[in-house]
Amino acid sequence: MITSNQVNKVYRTKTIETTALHSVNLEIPEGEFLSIMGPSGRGKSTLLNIIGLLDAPTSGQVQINESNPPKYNTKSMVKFRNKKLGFIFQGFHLIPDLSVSDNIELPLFYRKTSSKERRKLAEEALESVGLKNRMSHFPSQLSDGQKHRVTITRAIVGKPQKILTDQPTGNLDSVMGNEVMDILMHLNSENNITIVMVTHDENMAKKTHKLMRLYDGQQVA
Amino acid sequence: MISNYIKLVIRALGQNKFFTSISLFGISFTLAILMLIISMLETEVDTNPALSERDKMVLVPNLQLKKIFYDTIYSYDSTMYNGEIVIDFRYKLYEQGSSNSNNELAHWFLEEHLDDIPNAVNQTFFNRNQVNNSKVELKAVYADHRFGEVFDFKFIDGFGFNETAVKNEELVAVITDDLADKYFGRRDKVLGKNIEKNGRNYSVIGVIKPAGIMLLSLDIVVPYTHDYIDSQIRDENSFGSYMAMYIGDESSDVELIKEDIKFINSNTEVPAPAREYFDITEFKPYGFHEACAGQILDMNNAEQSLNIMTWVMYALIGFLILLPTLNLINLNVGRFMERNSEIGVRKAFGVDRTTILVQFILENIVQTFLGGLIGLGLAILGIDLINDTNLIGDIVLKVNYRFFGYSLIICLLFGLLLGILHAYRMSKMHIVSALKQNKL
Repeated sequence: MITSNQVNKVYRTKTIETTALHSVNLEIPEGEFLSIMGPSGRGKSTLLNIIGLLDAPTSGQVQINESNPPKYNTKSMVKFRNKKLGFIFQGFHLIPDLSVSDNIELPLFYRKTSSKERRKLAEEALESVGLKNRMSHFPSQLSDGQKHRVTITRAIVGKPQKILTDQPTGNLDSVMGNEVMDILMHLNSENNITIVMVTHDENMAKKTHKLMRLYDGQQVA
Repeated sequence: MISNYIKLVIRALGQNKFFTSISLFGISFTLAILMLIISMLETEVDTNPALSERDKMVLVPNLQLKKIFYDTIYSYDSTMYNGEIVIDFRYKLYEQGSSNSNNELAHWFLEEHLDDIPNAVNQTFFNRNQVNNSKVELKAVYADHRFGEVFDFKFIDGFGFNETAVKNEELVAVITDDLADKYFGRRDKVLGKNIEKNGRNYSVIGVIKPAGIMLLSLDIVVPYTHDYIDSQIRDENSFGSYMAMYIGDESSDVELIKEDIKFINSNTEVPAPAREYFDITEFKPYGFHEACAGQILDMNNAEQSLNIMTWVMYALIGFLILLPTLNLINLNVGRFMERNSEIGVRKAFGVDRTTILVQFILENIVQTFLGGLIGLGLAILGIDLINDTNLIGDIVLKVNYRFFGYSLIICLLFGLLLGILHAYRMSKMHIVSALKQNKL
């Protein structure tokens, strides 16, 4: 379960104060597939980052699995994020000088998994998305659709309990978008992984269990 | 774990091959040039044969005869006034003038005044000549039997001439292996063969390796008693072509030897034939490095010249070390800025600050060593090329691995310090900000 209680996020510069999130309350049970929609620049990604422990709220609390996550930006927080959460970013964010396999092994590498075990898990994960034959390729040698599948594989290889994804189908045509969505739905239904997805695509959002709308940092539905 | 880091480093360097090549070239080229300069400097000033004991040596390179005279010169100002010259009868008075003559010394003068210096354990009188009347052009040295004792030439074959050979004016010679090669077409088995110089045949009794420094740049050494003009016509000129080199037991003896020579100088009168023109005799003793610096800058202020040369050398070396260091720093800054997004991704997937620091530090180390190794390779190639082609005469350059190590460590330390600073800043970077700069 992920819960947020009165979460606020305010960005301050010397002259301007911008409220990105205003008293957001959320409850995402285990195994739920939640989509977050809203116009651009209205706090969707900020909320996702806070839920994903990539950013700290200005006030309010986020709880994961009914306990407060470790203090922001500490070693235990880094470990927690590494073990419990998986991320699929809007851009691919694949490291160009690492092979597909090495990119996928990244979360396991920092978990200090043995190289043999890493390779085995990466192979299994790539096989599940049909990219086992691309293991030693580099990101520049892949199509956009393949890159998306690699980013999904990187998110699931460490067997996280929750996946957070920011517009995973945003840059894709409808065929590829559906393909990615099918993989996410499969992960959710077969492995009971909780998924929180930010999207602009109403059709994709309709495929999820629950839809939340944000407008000017406030929950509207 | 470390192999993974190394793998990451190699890939990171290969990511932008052009950028990496330029940077590596910058580091390696400047290091190679630096090593070439050091090699040349070291050849001239460090302790290599045949000047292994140069720190204990004192050189008297020349003799100066001076005359101070007092002339009264009246100087008047004049000006034109209404078309006529008007003289100001208030005069200025000049009352001193001097004349001097400066040259190397005659052998008889050295024997008479500068033989057996109390604090010196050994000495040699020698000169250097260019001889053209032979099969090949020769750089010849006329010397006494102690030349080979003061200067520790490396003998490949045979030995030097002894006191008897000098006294008996034996036609013997010690030659370099380079001359043997040029003259006989071989470097070994030339003992007993004859070499022609000034219409005489000298028998080769020793073959040496060239000293590889300017002062002792020579092809052949023969007894000075064959130098009839300078060594045997003793009653005329105190000037000649000889210099004297003394050696002490310890480097601390250098000052004592200098004092001995100064004392002798203060009690030496102008030789009779020159008394008509001069009334002061001056032969100054110099430590070896002073003499080298003095010859380049100002022999009259050799000590100051040495100080200036030393500081110029330090400044030059410092500047040359600074170049690859700045290059490295520039490289680090550029590379770190390029990799914001990568750091963001790595942090999102669980990398901690320490790991980021270690990775960037390791990248620095690998980069510097790679640049250093290429630089070393270039320096070795350059030095071999200079030695093989005799680009700077007989001077034999050597690679100074110790200096290479020091330069590399300095580059590494500076690069590392600034690298750590940047890596620390990167490790503290906010994940979301890093991810927003999507350059992946």
